[in-house]
Amino acid sequence: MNYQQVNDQNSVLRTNMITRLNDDGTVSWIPNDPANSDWVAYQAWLAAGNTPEAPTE
Amino acid sequence: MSKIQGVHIPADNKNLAINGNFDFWQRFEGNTTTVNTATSLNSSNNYFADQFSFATAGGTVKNFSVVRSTSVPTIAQSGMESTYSALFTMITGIASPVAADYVIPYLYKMEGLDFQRIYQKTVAIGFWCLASVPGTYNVAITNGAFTRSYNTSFVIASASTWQFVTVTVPGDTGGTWNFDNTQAFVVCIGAYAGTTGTTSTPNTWQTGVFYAATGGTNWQATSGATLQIAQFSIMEGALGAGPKGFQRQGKGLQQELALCQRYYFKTFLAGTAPAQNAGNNNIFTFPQTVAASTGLSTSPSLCLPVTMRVQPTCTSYNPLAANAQIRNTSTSTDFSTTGFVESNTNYISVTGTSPAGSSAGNSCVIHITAEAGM
Repeated sequence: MNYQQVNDQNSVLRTNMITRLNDDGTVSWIPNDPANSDWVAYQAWLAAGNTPEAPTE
Repeated sequence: MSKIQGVHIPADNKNLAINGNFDFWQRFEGNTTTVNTATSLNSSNNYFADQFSFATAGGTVKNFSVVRSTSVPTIAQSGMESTYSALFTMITGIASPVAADYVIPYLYKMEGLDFQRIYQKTVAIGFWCLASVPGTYNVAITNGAFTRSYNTSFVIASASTWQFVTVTVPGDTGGTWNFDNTQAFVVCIGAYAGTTGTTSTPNTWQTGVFYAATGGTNWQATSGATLQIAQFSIMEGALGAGPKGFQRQGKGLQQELALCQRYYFKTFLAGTAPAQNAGNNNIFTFPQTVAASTGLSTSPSLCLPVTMRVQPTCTSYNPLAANAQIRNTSTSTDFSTTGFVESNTNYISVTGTSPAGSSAGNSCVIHITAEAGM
């Protein structure tokens, strides 16, 4: 499992969303909602010193 | 409100637990969930049945499974013909957990908006239980922030025999409790823990989070030990449902599903576990809005059946290929860069780059899951 940032169609980084690359090959789109449990988990992952992958060009 | 012999009986004596009858297993459709890891597992991905999850912590490798079971208490025992129960199996026993270890087989998390009704009130937690190891089992209640806890226990007298369990928990007048759309009231059943998560002062609310109490049986030490529950209820007041009084929270199965869909939604048919290439039944279908490869084609909003708890985490599944892309069924080709735009608690829109050779107006399909669990 890893996280990857995403760009919009104008190649501008989207700050309202992060993607989670799941172990089963699926990709989950996690919204920037502080009550979303997956967003909370992502924030904890960042706080642990991890860095998401850069967006795919 | 009324009183009989000093016992508080709420005017609307209903089960406050959603999916207490284990009718819905939307995420896995009852397939075995097996965990074999030392990683702490406390995320929304830990649901096995709707509204029911497990949690672990500590460095010892945890090896267990949870599966939907058709073994249920008989109608003579419970007064209700249920279809499913949940069956937790400790595949590899942990005889000596380290201090930070714990395994909580069953967690039920009540949202703050539902908890408002029972704040500072006594509740009765009831369920049918079948365990392979006799002994004293832990029940813990915590607040949503895991800073307050209440520990009690129940006794399994006979192995592998369905028995009804009820525990009464007084309302907590201390600590901080959530009354919003976040988790507020967490019920933990059957936990065993190392010293960090074990208290020597059960049957009282206290600061700190404890999942077990001294004197509890380490049934998790036995490889292959099972703990199975059915007909779970949380009811205001001390009386509870009783062994033959279980009712779903929803008025009928359809309403119960709608209650579950506040926390999880899928386009897949009931009974179909989310997966790639699962077939084009019940798919989200929409027209392609742009010509081939000319930019992003965004779907109309898919209106969710109920308002979800939070903006959901969305995952896409190609119904007709082993990838996560939108499928153009007019040309039998797949999009690229499939993703989601501006989803909220009521709507989801999917987007992607249309494939070469496709045209505006072509038919496009995709499966979607939306996760808003706690």
